[in-house]
Amino acid sequence: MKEKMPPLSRRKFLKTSLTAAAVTAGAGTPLIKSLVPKAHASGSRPPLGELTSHFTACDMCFNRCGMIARVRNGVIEKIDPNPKFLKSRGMICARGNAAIKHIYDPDRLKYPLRRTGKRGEGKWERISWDEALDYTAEKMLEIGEKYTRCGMMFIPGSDMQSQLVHRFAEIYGSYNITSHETLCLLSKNRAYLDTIGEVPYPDVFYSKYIIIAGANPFEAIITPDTMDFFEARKNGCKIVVLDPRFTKTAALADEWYQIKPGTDMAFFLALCHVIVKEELYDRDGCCPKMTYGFDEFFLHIQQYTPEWAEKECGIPAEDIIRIAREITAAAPAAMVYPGRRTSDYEDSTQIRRAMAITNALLNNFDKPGGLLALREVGVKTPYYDIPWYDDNPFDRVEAGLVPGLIDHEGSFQLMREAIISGEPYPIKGWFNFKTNFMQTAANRNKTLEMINHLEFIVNIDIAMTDTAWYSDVVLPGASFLERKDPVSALQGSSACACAVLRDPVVPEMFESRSPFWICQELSKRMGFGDSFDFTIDEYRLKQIDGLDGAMEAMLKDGVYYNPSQVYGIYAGSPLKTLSGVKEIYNQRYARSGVDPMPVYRKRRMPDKNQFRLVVGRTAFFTHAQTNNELLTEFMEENVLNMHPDSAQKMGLKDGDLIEVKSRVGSGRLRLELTEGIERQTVYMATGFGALSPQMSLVHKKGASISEVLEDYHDEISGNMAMHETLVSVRKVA
Amino acid sequence: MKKLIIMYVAAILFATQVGIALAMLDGNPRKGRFLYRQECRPCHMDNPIHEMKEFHAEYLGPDSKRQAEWIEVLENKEQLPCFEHWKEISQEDLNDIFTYLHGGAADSPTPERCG
Repeated sequence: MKEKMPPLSRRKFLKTSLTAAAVTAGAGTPLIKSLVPKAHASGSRPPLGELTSHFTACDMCFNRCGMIARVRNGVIEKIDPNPKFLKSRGMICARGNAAIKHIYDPDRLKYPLRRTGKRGEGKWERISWDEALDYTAEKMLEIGEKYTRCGMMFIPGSDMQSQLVHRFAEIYGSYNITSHETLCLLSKNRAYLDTIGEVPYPDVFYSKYIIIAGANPFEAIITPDTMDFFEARKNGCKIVVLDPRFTKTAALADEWYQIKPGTDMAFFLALCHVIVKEELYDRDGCCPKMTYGFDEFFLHIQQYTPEWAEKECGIPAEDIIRIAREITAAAPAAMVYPGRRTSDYEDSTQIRRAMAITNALLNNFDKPGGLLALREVGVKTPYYDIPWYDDNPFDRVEAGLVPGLIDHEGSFQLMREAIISGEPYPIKGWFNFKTNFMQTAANRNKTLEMINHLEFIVNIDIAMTDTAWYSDVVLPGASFLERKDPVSALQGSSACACAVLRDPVVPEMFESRSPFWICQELSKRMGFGDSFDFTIDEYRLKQIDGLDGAMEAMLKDGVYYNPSQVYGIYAGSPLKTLSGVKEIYNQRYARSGVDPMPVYRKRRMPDKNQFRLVVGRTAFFTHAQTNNELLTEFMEENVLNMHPDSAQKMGLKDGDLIEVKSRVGSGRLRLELTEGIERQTVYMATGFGALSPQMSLVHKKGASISEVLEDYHDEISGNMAMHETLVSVRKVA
Repeated sequence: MKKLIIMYVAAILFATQVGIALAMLDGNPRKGRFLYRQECRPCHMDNPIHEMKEFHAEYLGPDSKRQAEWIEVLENKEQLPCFEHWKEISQEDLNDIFTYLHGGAADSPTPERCG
């Protein structure tokens, strides 16, 4: 039997705390003291319960860092890092520490809700789990019947239970499954898959020279890279940052170049020009014999001189030449850092291809200090049968709209267009787990338009996010600290290839339930209960079958390490590209009518009254997870960063309330002036300006990026392109 | 001259064979995925579940081979130990299965491991 804690509202929490504080303070005064029983007055307390420690893995972002939760009397008192967790170098960040306020958040959803008013009106009725599950199953079956099983869109989230939600979607029979990653890193993945045949891991720790372009790993934390940059620098690694903003990463770099936004490709093509012209590449180990299309590239690159690039990107030609010589001297223990979020421009895959080709010329793949191949962890995906419905359409709804769609990810943006148009076929239902496109996807008005075309939306989350706010049924999910989760495999650069699991640290609070349980119950109601007739323990055993000692290590140390090979994995074997070598010239691109080598195109630039809006996140928030009492102490609302010279021309001052406006929407927030930003660029952080009043700490605080950003997408992968938006700024009051 | 004719004929035969194989790869990969799980995975999964142990084979999914290797398998399917089982599968279903395997091969744009 699960222990249940009573719901605690913010009002009740404050009332109780203030009363307690008053009594405590008053206990020292003679009048009050006489009214308090002697034992209490002398300060005696009920005996403290035993402090117990529990391994877990963080869920405050995607990194899954190892943690130890300290629990007393059934309440988590503190969270510490797991010192044996090498991927995070035995550390956790502010977000991990603040996980206590994630689980004990007064805004948490407490029981299933069904919408009674219009979407977004905020009228709900509390319903039982049986009612919620029966209703959801009925609606999903109804949509499957009317529009085929592909009439449901599934977003399984980026969570340790997402694989189970994905399984649920496939067993239901839909292949319209997409993810938050289609707003994030798909263009980078596409570029590296199409150049070296896989998505590599940067070996920052052992690197001697790193160029970071547009990424901000000192704030947008990636473990172990963020920590390893510091160690690498101590060991003599040179770090060069290209960014229109003076980010924390730029502040700690050896060199920072305030590149014009959107011109990174010009820099990298010029870098390649110098490397090729001066024959700085490894002629024995790399080019031309271990590449495809080097001769074509030699001719292609002639036009991209450093002098040309200087005019485009603003970085002096002499510095480009020097950097090319320095980085090749350090190669192969050198790299262009691949970064993570690359959803910036319409040619973001080609920008990352230019970076990947630079890495190819450095011959750093599968080598210390370079880019690492995928290591073996050994965790398996348990097998399951999928059904076949003859009436299902031929392919996913956005198939063929871009040449390089990653099939198992799709593109939320293109799917949204398809739902609105109803072409090539209708999608009328949405099953969403822990993904908040209303807050993260560009052009919120278009997401609302998509919602208007849907007949049913069910949402599992732990809080009433903006996306939940517009749903029909909201199911309270259990937080990661309350759940038993499958094993998750992780690679932490050269630090480790490891596996972690989660057991409940405390019981599920309120009426919250895990997504696994929800999928099980819905499966029973929809006639495929057999597919979910297993326990998480049974599932885990199938996952780690053949991994001797894995379960024991995860229970004893909170992590299992597979001592698999780190470097030289390919060791002369062909790469997973069509040619078997690094594809500087991509054959498939040529066949699809896509430029087989990156071609620089001038992009739309802001006119004198406009700015380019760039977005990002801080070290203490992950996208929409801003509604955290501890973390909002660092930043209560987001602001718009602008250069003082630009502000002065417009008569704007620091702290002014301004409106930032694009073609699709506008937002109001405070202006913060900083010299650390390019003059025609403005910046705002993600995660604020929530529509949902039940995101009480960020509701109407600052502005949401989603209400201002226009919707562009990468023309190869379909990844969202978030830095194409040009905005105007005006003072409101 | 004789050598040239032989090479010419060989080239035509090769091109025809590859052409036939490629023509076979225009099926429905989604249905192919379903059929592959039904027909092949019981023996070729990480932990085979086929009731007869002598049928248990090594893991085989789309990413186990490169695209050219899948075409080679298709061209020489008669030599496979499980060819007898294949005879029971229709040409259309085989086409769907190979379209799926080829589309998710190790050197394909989106390699797929079959879980």
